[in-house]
Amino acid sequence: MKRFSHLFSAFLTIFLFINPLNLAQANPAAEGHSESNHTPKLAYLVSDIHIPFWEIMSRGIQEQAHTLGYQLEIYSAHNEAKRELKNTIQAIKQNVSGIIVSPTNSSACVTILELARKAGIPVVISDIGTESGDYVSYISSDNFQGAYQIGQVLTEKMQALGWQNGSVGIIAIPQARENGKNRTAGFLKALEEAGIKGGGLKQQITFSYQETYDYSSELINQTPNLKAIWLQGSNRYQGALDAIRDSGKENEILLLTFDAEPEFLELIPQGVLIASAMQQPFLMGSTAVSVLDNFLHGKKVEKEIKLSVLPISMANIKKMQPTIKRNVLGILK
Amino acid sequence: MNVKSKPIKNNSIYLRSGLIIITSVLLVMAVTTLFAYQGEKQRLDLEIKESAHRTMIAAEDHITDMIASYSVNEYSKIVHNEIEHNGLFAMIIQDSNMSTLLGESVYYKGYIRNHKGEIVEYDPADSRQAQQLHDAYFSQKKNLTDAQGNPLGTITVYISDDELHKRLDNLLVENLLSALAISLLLVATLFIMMRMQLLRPLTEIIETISHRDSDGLPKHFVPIKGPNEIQTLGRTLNHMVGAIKASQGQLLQQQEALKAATNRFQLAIEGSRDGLWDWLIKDNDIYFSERFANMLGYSPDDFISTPEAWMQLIHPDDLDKVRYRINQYLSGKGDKTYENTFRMQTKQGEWRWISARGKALFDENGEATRFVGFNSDITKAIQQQEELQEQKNILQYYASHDPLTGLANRSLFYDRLEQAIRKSQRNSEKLAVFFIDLDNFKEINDSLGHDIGDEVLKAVSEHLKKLIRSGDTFARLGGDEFTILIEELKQEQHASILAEKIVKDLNQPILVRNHELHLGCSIGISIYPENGDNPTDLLKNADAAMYRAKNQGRNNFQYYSREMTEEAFDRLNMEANIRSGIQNGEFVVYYQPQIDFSNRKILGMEALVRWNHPELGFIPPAKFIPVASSTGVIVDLDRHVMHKAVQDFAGWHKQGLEPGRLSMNLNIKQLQREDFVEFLKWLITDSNCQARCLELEVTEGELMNNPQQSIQLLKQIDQLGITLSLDDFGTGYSSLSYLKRLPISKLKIDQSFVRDLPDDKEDAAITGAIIALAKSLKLDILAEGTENEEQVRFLSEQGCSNFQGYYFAKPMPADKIKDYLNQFRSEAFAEDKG
Repeated sequence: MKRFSHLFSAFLTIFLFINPLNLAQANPAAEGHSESNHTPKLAYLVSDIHIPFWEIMSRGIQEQAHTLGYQLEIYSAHNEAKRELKNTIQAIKQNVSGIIVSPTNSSACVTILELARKAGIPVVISDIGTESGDYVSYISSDNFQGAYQIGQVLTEKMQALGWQNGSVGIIAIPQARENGKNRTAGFLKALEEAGIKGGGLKQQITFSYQETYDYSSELINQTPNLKAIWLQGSNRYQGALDAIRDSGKENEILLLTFDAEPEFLELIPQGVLIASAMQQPFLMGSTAVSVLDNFLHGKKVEKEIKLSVLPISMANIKKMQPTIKRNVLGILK
Repeated sequence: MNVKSKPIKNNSIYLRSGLIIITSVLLVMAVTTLFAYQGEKQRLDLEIKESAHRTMIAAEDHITDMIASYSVNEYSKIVHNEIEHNGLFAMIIQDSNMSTLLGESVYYKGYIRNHKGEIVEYDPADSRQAQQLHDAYFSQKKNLTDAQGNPLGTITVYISDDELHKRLDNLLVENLLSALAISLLLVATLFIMMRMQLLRPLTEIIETISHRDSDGLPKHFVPIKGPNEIQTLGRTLNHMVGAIKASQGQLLQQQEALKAATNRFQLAIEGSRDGLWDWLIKDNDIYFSERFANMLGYSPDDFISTPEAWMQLIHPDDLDKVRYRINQYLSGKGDKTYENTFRMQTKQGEWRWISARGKALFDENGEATRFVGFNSDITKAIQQQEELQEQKNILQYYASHDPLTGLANRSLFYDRLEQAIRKSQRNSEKLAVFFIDLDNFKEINDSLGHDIGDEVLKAVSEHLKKLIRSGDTFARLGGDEFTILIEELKQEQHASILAEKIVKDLNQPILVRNHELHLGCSIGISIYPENGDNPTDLLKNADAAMYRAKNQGRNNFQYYSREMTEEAFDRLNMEANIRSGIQNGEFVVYYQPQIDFSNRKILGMEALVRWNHPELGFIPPAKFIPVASSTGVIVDLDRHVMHKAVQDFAGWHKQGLEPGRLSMNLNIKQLQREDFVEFLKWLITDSNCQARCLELEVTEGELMNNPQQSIQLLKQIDQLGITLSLDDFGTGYSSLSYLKRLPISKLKIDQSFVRDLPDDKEDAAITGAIIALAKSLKLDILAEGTENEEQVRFLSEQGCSNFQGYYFAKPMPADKIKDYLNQFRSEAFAEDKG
């Protein structure tokens, strides 16, 4: 597992250094360095490129744009609304042929779509979604399906362990988000079908380690027969693990996650994590470019495309590893 | 009679009050709704504005933050929500951050409602939207700043009147619906209540009173239901119906009674012999029944129905009475029954006696309006009454008269005597009662039988009737006893004149059935009041006097008192003596001068007769003149004296003694002689005396006994040129109208008025009046009997200057007159000289 983690870090470092152009493209000042003026240009507006999920997605976009012969400029908003709007304006001024956006939130997306619409630029939304507005297509993950399947993994495990009377606590992403709601609903459906009780739900606000640790401790303390904790994110899994350990219930409380971290390729086979439902950001990015390309070429496109979330557990991780590496982690080689 | 009632008609209370209720309710509700609407409109206006303000304030912080955080969509959602949920028309954010970012002058973000009310995005380039905003009902703008006070933009809220109108329309609809619902409920309730409380009781009343009997009166009493007023109406109706039924019953009874009375009345009229008349005074129309017309021989068609036509049939002599009685009755307000009796003419011209009885009706002013009555033909009754009266009169006549002679009997005589006594008592007069007994009647009766005796009595009564005055009462008391009552006797001695005549008359033989019978009578006279003041005493005393006459040798009369008898015989002797005295020249003429005191001249002389009896000496005129006047010898005496005086006077004139005018008293008996004027003519011619020197004095009292005849004669005398004067003026009762017509030229004031002058105020007033009267009639005036200076002075002051009397000269014989005249003339001459 440690080796896998180091490998992933090395890949990321190499990629960042080898591909300075792509990094430069995130800077508007780099406009003048465009490869060619007649090459069709696409822009990718992303909320924060430093978040691995968006970075993996940007690589999927970049890889597919390149494949389809598009020049691509990536604008990261560093999770700032103002920057995002500035980026949008910048992108529009570059007279791009199309925009792929992963907005800071679905509300901000509305303004982006509006600005693009006024400029006559087609937009494909890649994840997050929008509250309203005109767009070509919306590419997203099927959170419900993923959560349901991961829930089934858990219930099977609990039944196997004879813990079907135990309850399951959830540390959720904000339920205001559409993806949060879908994840909870899918998961609870699986619990319900198995007749396993829910053991409380906490919504993440700061997404910090401490918050995750605290929420986990509270769930453990408040729920006597807590047998599992499902964390609807991936990056703060350590906080939950530490809380379980600190509560002295290691091996008594199972931990599940959503999305993936490179080290999961080791932790799931080790049984530290029971399972994780993994979105496929790289696939989402490449799909977005393909859809936009089809649109620009006058082809009919699906308005909404839901990509499946992979339920990865000890049982299938080995088999799904190539897919996980490319589509989930964006590791092409 | 049953009439199917229709309680509810077009004009019914139900409909009318229903219309009133509906109108009132709708009006009230409309006004209420209008006020509510207006209030609500103001409230809404305020609310909308406040809401807009609140919305803006509430959104301000969020939007400010979102502008600061470039969350355009977030504040767009807020704006959208605010518009959607707060009914705003538009809300527009001017975002300075975004304009800076976009490099544009302004950046607007907001929403506005389109014409369909849908919320659409605000487009600054849309002119229509701009106009809509401009026309917005209300807008409010607020500047937005960040925490440091840096401007971030503005927020503007718009409210359209569409919203207001929409809400007001809703409000109006709601209000109208609720008002309509309330109105309907109210109207329905009022209708039901009115129907239950008012209409139903009223309908029952109407239905009840619509079932009426043949007289149109309700058969049943109306039910007493509903509110007090309707109950009162019901009770009043019942009371009225009851009262009407009761009065109807009474009326029916009265009608029957009236019918019976009318029938009775008609039968009575038809059965009666009376004629009905009915006078409607104000219409001047009079109705006569058939009987009325028939009574007068007319048919009813002959009659004109006016009172005037009716009046024309009344006897002219009765017309005034009829009118008077009618007017009297009608002005007397009908206190009594009108009754009248008069004559009416039948168609055939006969007069029928009618008795009318009637009653009048008067109005409130007391004016007679109708006068109804009956006329009864009482001609037969009147005739019967007259016949009865005649019989009664006959009976009464025989009760009071002697059947043989038709003279009053004792009873009537007593009665007349009693009345005469009372009358004499009142007038201070005397009366005489004669008791006459025939001297030889018994012998005649015994020898010739009662029949002859009765004839004698009848003959005697016829004789005596001729002697006595018509006003005196002549009675036969029985047998051969007669009585006479002589009233208004001036002197008791006058009775002897009649007594003498009777004695003389019955002394003449009477021829009865070829028998020349010598009767003779004895008369006894009693005088009231001297011989008694009641019939019994007077008759008894007259009877006693009669027996004395018989004792005196029959065939004479005797007063009850001897003195009277003596006086009577003196008178009888005097008459004979006067006649012989005239023959023997025992009567001499004296003259009393008449003086005009104003110029001391002799006007003339009055001739006065004096009787110088050879045995008795001078007998005063007062003694023999009345006797002479009452026996007629006065004419001879007067003519003798006049002849003598005129001769004397003519002589004095010839001698130039200027005796003036000869004034002589003219006895009324002279005037009664037809040859008197001729005598005067002879006298003037014979004595050769001028007529203007003669003056005849007539006595006022005597003239007035037969003024018409006297005036004729006096005019003849006047035409002869003889002056006429009125003697003793003031003692009679002269009518001034006659006085004016008499041809006299002088008045002589009687000495009785002069005697007590000037002390007696009454005499002074009378003499003054006589003098004034004479002056106004332009007559000369002369005062007789002036005896002293005071009298002369007084009368002179009153305007009388002619005098006769002792004060100037006493009457004197003719031989003294010459001297007097000579002396008077010489005295007058001396006075003139002096």
